[in-house]
Amino acid sequence: MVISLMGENNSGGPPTESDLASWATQYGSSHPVLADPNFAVTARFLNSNTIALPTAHLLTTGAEVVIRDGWASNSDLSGALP
Amino acid sequence: MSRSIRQFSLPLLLVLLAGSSCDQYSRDRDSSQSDEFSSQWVDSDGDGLSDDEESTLGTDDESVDSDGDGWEDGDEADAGTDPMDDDEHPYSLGWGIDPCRSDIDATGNGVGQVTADFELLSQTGEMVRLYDFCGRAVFMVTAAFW
Repeated sequence: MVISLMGENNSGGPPTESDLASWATQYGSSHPVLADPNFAVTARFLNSNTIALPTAHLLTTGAEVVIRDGWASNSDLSGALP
Repeated sequence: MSRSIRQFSLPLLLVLLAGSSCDQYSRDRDSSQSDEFSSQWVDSDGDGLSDDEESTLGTDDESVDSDGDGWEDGDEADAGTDPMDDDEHPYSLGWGIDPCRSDIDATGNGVGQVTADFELLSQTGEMVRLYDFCGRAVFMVTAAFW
């Protein structure tokens, strides 16, 4: 499962449903595209006080954190699969 | 002329044999069919669940949507939601819900820890919960529109 967390819209405000729907349509995303206003959820995974975008977080089953605020290789992804 | 007959006689023979075989199978099955066999395979309302499965789940085998939430019983069973609870159904884009979602205890956000649940607005207008996907790996990418 892939989830996109969108922290801000083009105006720097919290993404609306319309923003999210436009994004999903533009990129053909059928996975969840979610609003993360002010990066509040993302903040729990950050390794510092700054955010470098895009950034990624990988969870294995049971919402266990495998990678936070980084990126995942193919082997990371396959290793996290149940 | 005789060549023509030979060419078509074999397929015709096979069709006749097949038909005969099917008829025989049908008679055998009808004669030995029990109520148990019937309920195991029959789906009276056509919702994707056999009558036997409907009995196990407590759903109505004469209604495609027993809880009236707009989702057919078979689709709910496939997605892991309760077909007898009208507050519970799959997400509109078909993302299933994993049954482990009520069995998770958050421990922290470090590597190896179990992160807390969240619920965020999606592109469909639905609120999406992280723990609904607890039975699979989740790759989250944070970005912004700008």
